[in-house]
Amino acid sequence: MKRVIYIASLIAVSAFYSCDKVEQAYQQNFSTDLDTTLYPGNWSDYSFPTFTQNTNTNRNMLIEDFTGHKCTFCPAAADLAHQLKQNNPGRVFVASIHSGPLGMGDFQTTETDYPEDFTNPEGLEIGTYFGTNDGGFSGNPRGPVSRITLNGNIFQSPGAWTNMVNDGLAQNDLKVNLQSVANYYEQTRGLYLHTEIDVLDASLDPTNLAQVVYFIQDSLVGDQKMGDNSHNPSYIHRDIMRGCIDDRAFGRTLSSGDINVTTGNYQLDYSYKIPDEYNVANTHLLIYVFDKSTMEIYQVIEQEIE
Amino acid sequence: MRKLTLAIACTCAALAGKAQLSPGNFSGNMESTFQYLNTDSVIGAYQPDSKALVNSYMNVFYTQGNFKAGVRFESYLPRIQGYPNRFDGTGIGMRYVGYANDFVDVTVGNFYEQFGSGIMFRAYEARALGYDNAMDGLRLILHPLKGITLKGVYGRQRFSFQEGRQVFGQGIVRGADAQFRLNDLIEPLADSKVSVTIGGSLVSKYEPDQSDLYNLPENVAVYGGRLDVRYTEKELGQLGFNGEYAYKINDPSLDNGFIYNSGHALVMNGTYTRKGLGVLVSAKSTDNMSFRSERGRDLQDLLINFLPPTNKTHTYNLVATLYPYATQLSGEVSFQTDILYTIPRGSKLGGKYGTTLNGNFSTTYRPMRHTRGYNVEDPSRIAYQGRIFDLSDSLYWRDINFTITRKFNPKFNAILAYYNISINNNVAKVTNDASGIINAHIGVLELGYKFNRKHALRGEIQGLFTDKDKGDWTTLLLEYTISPHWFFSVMDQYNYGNPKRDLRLHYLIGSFGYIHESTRIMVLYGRQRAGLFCVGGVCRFVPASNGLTISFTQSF
Repeated sequence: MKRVIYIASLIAVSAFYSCDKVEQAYQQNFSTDLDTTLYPGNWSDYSFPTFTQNTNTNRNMLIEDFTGHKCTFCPAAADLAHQLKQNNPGRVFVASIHSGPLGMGDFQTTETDYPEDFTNPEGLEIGTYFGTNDGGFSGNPRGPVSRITLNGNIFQSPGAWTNMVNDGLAQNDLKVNLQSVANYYEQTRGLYLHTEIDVLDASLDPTNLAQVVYFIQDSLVGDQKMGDNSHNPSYIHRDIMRGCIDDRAFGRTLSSGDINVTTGNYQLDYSYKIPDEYNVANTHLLIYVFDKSTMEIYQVIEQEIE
Repeated sequence: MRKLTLAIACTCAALAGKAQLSPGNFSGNMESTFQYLNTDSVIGAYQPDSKALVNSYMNVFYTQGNFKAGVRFESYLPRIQGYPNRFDGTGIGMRYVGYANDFVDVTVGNFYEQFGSGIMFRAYEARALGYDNAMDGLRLILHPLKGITLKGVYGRQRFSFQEGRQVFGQGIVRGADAQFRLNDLIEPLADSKVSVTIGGSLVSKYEPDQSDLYNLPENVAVYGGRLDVRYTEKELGQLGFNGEYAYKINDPSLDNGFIYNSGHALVMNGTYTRKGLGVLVSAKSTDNMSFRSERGRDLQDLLINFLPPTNKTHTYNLVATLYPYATQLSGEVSFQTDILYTIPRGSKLGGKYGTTLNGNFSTTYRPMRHTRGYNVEDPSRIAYQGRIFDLSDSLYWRDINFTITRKFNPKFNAILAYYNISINNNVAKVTNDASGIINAHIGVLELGYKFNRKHALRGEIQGLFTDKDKGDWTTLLLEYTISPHWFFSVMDQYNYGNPKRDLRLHYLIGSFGYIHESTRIMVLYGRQRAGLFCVGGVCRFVPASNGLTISFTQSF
């Protein structure tokens, strides 16, 4: 019988240590990753938004136009992307990412006639990743439409964009819904972005989804090599992706700690100091959620800053 | 994984090679299901890009003396409809090695196990559902004395099968269980008509706290005990009672809205059986007993425990597939009575071959949650008080059914059944076309006729009548069997009472099969409507389909 008691005790002890009774559910010193110094008053006065039921039923599309200011075919692709955006207001968005398949390429480097550096670390990281993954891409101009895989490739020639956009809008397969609120404080150039992610498709694994926020400059007049090889110093660059506001090219993965217990939806908050060189009125954010396995972007929305 | 597989293979080979006189014993089984699907926009069935789908698996078990090993190969190229969409690829979905003798049984790798009724711990597989929460780690079972069984488990749970590999949850599950059969341990009880078995379990999970807002418990335990008593009198029959109670400490999760309430589960069954009579009375009270190894999971993912259903599992097509009830993990108060009585042969009512009557009643309510004095925003985040068998007036489920089975002569038999189902579609959702309580009456007549020793015909006519959802249905089934090899059947489900005339559809399915010893091949073609597919109160949505299904099963 002693042997029985000994063995039973051994098993019980090995398991019994595992029980945490919590009296204080909330963390005493609520920590936040947000930069509270960007708020001009006392942070304790800052009011987080309360999201109401998201009534959107539309899946929006994102064209990521991988481009370069010395790429002669790129202005035509940019015009097409802009036209698709104009034809589908609020449903199609564009991010012009200055990167090639190896990141910084000949089309992106600066020189005397092309002094503006449109590149940024996140844009180059994304370009480099897709340069060798998921079908790769050969050069500029190329780009995915909501990173939907077509014929084994995520990146497509601009010639495929129109059909892919139209197909995506027609199918309107909304698997993830997004909404956001931005609070901007001019005194500090501080921006707080609050986003709510509602995973509508129960078959999706939320921890396999990630959210990315692009900081976009609406337009900038600058140098561009044109289709006839000429140099155009007054070219209008549009929807220039200037980076990710959390410096993460592939975003933040959803986790159970991000769940708003009231709504059951995921909520991600960001803080960002808008660099001095940008006119805030000439910028906006693109927020999207993508599948980390397939890379497909399930939803994208635009958030004005001012 | 590769190392373990290699180890299994090497060990098997070594044992087989070393012991040529006793090479051990291989056994196993396999199943392969192939689907070729068509688009049928009327019922919402769509052809997948690959047009064809196939699920396959093969279990191979090896024993040599006290040594044992097993492996299961799985393949989803891609998965058939209704399976979790994260299953893909071909690879090893289960593998283990172990050693067992009269005293010890140890398993390393994947294993399935259950403590008591499962309300604290159950690792099992329901292949038809795509449900598999196998443990991956260590299981130790000891039999130190006759009548004593001690179990210990430690590992992670299988979550998915992706790119041909098992994917496990983050949480670590560990547990211990002890069971004592007192008749073996206490001398005076050895020959007693009363048989008593007691047991107790403790199961704990570990998951890191990654929340910025909450102090989440990283170690959450559930513990409890059980009792099984049976009294057997040869002349009078057997009277039995078994019950199990479990208590779970604070376990904030997605299931409960991250509240810090404790949870409880109590299941009790009383039985009485004698020749010609069986009576079952069951009661269950659960609250906040969803227990997963990752607090952010939902649906059927990474469940550590199993809350048994307290309702009859039906088999006839309409009653089983249109309004099945899925166990509500948030809480239930349930009762069930089941009586089976055979009118003796030769009596006026019983007829020459006897007549069997079955009556069954089950009902489930939402537990009462006393919120006065509780505020979920308080530091404790305790949202309410729940008490055992304290039920509200919110009905989840009710089923009243009767079945009469009679054999008229050696060739002809009949079954007549009636079901009255009430299901709360706002809670246990089964359809998008109704809200609130759906009431349905279902009648079934089954007739069977044996032409001779080899040839038999069976037919069913079923009717379902309801004012809600898609209205009235009928099902006709004919099944012809040529023993021992062939069977043919045709079934038509007809939604003749659909309020929308253009949706009064036939769901016609034809099938045939061939059985040769332990080999079975079945071919099926037709329409299947979308709906819930449930096994033991665990349900999964299966989309509509139209096409060909071929299944092959083999055991060895």
